[in-house]
Amino acid sequence: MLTLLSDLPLLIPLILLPLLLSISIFKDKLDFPAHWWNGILLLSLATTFFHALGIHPDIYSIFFAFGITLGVFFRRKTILHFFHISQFPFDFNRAIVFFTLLVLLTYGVLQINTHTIIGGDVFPIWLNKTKSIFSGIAYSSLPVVQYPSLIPTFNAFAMKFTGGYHPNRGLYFGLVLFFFWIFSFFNLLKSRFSFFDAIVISFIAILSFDKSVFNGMQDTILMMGAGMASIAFIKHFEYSRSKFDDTLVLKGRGLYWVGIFFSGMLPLIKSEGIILGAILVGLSMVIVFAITPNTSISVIKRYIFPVFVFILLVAIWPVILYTGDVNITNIQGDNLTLSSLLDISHNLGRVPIIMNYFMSYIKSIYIYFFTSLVLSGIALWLSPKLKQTLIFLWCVGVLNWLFISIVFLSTRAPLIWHLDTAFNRLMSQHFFIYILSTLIVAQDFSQVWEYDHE
Amino acid sequence: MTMSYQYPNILKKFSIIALIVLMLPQAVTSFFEIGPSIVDDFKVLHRSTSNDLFVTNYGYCNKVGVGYLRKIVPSIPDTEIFPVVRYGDWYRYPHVLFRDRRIKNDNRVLIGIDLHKNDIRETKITEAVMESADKTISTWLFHTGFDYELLTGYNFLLCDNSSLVEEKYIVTLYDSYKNYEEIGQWFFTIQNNNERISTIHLDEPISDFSFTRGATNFVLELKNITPNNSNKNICGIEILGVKIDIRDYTIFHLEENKKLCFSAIKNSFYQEIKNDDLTLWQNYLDGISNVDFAK
Repeated sequence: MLTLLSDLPLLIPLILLPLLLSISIFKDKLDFPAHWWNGILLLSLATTFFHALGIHPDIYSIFFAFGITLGVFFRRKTILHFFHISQFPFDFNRAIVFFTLLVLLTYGVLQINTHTIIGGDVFPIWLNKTKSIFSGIAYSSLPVVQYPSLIPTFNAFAMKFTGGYHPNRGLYFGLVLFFFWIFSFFNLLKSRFSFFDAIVISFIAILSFDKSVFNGMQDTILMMGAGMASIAFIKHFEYSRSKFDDTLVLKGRGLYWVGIFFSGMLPLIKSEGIILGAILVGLSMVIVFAITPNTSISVIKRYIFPVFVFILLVAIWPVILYTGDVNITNIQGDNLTLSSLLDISHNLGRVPIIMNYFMSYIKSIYIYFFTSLVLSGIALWLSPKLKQTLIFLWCVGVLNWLFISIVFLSTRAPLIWHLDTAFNRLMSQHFFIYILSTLIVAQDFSQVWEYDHE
Repeated sequence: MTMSYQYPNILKKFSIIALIVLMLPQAVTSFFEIGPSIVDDFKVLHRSTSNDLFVTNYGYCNKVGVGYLRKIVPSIPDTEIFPVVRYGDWYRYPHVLFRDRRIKNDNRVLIGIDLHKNDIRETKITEAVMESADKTISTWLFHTGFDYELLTGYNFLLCDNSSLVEEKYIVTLYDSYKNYEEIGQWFFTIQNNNERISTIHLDEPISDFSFTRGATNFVLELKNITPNNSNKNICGIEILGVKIDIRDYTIFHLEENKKLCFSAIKNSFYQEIKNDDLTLWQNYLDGISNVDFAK
């Protein structure tokens, strides 16, 4: 039990610092979960920069803790104002979701502390990186050097608050992320939060909570990050359609930037995040131009600049590696290179094998896949206002399937070994599309009961 | 108008109910699995220390061998180094489970975990499979599965109907088809006698032979250079090797129950300890040793 008590200081870097950092910068422009996500990504980005500059974690940890405390002192009125105006409604329906999350978090914390860490790459890559960064080793000397190190860097930073490196402490990151990921669904929905919404969110939380949330692998973290970017884009689509409320339109523009920032951080979590982020940003632009009645030059300019920022964010990790004299073209060894893409036309015989893996993955998530597919189909027919959102989400899925197919059509590693070790993990990275489409349609449909009561 | 409005509403209500009914059984099952698990985990956490749990989960002289490593590693005088650790199957990156700052692997100390006695001796690794053959050259493939530190030789199994005349061969080993890099080349002669197995031991064993290769095959090429002879006399090839090479080491700590765990020090470094009077290391070895090792 003492282990749990000694882990308590982790609450400072994991929850308090990200929230305070984001609120003091962005005031009331974001809601609670988006603030936390924004804060943790900003903090992780800052630790990554400082580490890349060769500053020891012992130094930048103190610097950040001191800097944020100072910032909080000077912005105390802003922060207090945020907590005052946000006055988060806490009713019976929301309590159902919080109770479910509390049970899941308790389960996760106990599992982390009583069971073996599992997951093929956790020891050789992620914990190995965390321990090396904790000791001040430069990025260019890390194991599996090309893999991005955002989460290991933040974990090493967070561990400084508990006095030392501990393999289990890095695993809490996924748990807290999961809490704020589910928490963000409240904001996705309308202000009226029905009993049905509470039941659906609780079921989604239970069914999507497995060991991948806290086993230290980065795929579920990437999935949740991409889901958060999608939520920001979806809200942006919704607010952009608002013709009469300028405040909403402005808020929507802000949310587009949030979506861009979250998408741009994905490549710093995992290399595949470059593709996922590009898909999210590209599709969001297509949808925006489709729903904007008159696409003038000024509108195009408004959206081109965020894309430029996205490209800058994507370039951060390659630039860090390049300045450390690391070969940035060799992400997956000889197994996957630009030249191996030329082999695709010769490897089309692999399609049936890849399809087998695809079908068995779909079988493993059949409840999510078919409910979201059927609900989306019905919603496209009955709720035209959800059209853009659903097309956006399903196009993300289809483009990501296409990317995964290209990976396995061009890999030079033994195909079955590569499929066995990577296919399900890659597919899980866009799992959020099933969650969000189900949730959005369910919430829209559940309003018919409210109309009946009115 | 009313009718056309109602039908969609009924479909929406039906969809929501269907969604909840579909999710309900799995959600309830998961929830009822999680509940008892929370109680059990809480009891485990209540009655065990963090150290006990680590040894239970990651093994004493098995699995990752955290228990044995905790006995040997923390008192190593150089606080930055972690010994080289070898397992009976593959490497497990044990240093990430330690809370210290030891991240530099140092081969002056070697630790073996979860081993059989045969793991430090020459054994048959596997049998190669013939992939293709023409008149004089045959190509064979094999993978080791587990990590092997040394390749020490080959057993050539002669066919029952082989002609039993003296034959000369060139054997070439390549890393893999993908990376067609030559690892070694050897000449050998099959003698004209009644033995059905012809063994060659390499004068210089190949070190750092096979680590974390998974199912990647080595490629072995066999060329019969005897004039007017074909290579049809060889029906099989066994690969010989050693999992853990302790030729340059002296064991200073040993635990043997069902499995073997040992700690060894590099001979050259031990000489340095004695010659240069490295007191900290000498005290460490004196304090921890449980075998009568070379004094």
